[in-house]
Amino acid sequence: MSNRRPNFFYHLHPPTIPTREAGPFYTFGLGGISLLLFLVLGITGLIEMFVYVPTPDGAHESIRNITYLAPYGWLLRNMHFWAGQLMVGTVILHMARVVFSGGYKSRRLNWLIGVALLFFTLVLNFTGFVLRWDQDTAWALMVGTNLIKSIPGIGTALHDFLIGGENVGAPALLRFYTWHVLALVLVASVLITWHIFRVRRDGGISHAKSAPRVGREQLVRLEILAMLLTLAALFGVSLLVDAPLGPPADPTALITEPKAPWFFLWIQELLRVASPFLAGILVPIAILLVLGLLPYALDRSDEGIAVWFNQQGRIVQLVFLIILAGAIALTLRGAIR
Amino acid sequence: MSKDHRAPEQGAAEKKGPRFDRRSFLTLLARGSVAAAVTAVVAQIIRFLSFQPPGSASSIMPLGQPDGYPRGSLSYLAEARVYVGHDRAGLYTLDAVCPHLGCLVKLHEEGGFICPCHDSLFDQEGRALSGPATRPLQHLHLWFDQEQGQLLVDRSEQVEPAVRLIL
Ligand code: HEM
Ligand code: FES
Repeated sequence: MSNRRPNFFYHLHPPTIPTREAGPFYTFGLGGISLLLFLVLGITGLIEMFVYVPTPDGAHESIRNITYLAPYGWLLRNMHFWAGQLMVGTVILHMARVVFSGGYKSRRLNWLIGVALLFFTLVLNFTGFVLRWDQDTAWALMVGTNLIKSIPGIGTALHDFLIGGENVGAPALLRFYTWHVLALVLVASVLITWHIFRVRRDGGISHAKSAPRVGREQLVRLEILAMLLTLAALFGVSLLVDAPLGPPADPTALITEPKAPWFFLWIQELLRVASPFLAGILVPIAILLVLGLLPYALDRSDEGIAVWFNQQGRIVQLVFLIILAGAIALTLRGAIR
Repeated sequence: MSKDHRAPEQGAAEKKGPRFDRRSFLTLLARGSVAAAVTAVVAQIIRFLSFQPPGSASSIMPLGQPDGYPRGSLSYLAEARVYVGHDRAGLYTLDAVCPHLGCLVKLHEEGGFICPCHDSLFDQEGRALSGPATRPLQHLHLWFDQEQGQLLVDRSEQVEPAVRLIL
């Protein structure tokens, strides 16, 4: 290494890194794995765009073509699907890591960018699910767009803005497509770049003061290992488990068991018991707000940085845990129904 | 404003206080116009995206011949998204669109209707019994059109639950 100029990948890292935080069991590489999955999604999605037809008549058929006819299309689609689902998991775990190790302390702006990224991860996933244009999509769109209408005052305007008409049809699919493949991806890419840039601006991964440091080579080696393992896992599930595809969307057909995409099952459960505006709009917004405000309202101390389950952040950790446990419980309830 | 007439040396010491000189005026003007221009453009983008192309589909749907609905029957008409029923009093149409969030209700084994999305229950007449739906299923205007020689329903016209078509 010594005499060569560091390559670009090395260059993204600071020359030295605190020893413990550079090891595998501090960040667990979760932010980096999320980034890798985002990149995989970009590449596989770009290839799918050459075949996918964003019209009500063409969408489902083109996905069938990708899945059943195009060479290795099934693998491509499975990888795009599974990278999206895994990313929801890794982003939430990454967030949990940040909470429990006090990683939000003294870097509240980056925490806020992170909360925005959680939102984008979910919305990107949902808009992608819409593009499938099967029966699940049809009813989820129906419920989702009616939820938007339930917002007092601006509901109808926002609804028309989102689906481009009074009823879900070709304009709606085109809009979801444009959001999914371009608009949201663009904003998310800027946010991710900013997020990672902020980590370096804030002095690298958070660590105790005057912690011992090692050269970046060790971290880079681990990152490559994590990358290979992630890709292997992604490849593995994609080989074994197919992405779902129901019968084509038909807004007039009766269906037996409509299920929201798994990451919104908790909302579907809430909708059974609370009013649409409360369950489908206010609660999700409140959760994002509470998450965003955690380091502002409940733990402003800069002690306990990089200390697992640090004393100062107990309340933040507790509130986060309650939200997470609630969402998981409702999701499981919806899943076994 | 009178402070502006002081000598420059004194003025420098006064910088801390609220001052409004030519420079800050121009800065404000520049920033203000940029902000105004951006707002105007964003507003127009939102208007563009809210645009709706003209021409809307008709809300009137054909239901076929009345003898397709013998007394005692209750059938789902997919294209019109309605249930057509025929009870002792006559023919009626119930909107299959759930008043909660728009899924299509199914016939319930124990009579009435159930919505598969969030389990709202309705009775034969469409009244909401349990679950998150608070409004009943709509009864829609149904009539026999002499010219076309068939039953028609207008999805946009609601009628009282007791209304029946007698032929
Ligand atoms: C698209 C999703 C995301 C990507 C690609 C991403 C990426 C990263 C990366 C690469 C790091 C540095 C190493 C690491 O901790 O693994 C990081 C740190 C951080 N992330 Fe994220 N992140 C994402 C979502 C989030 C979310 C949802 C939050 C929380 C709301 C968040 C909050 C933070 C914070 C506060 C740090 C600094 C932690 C520290 O220095 O200890 N990120 N992120
Ligand atoms: S849409 Fe029918 S119960 Fe929610």
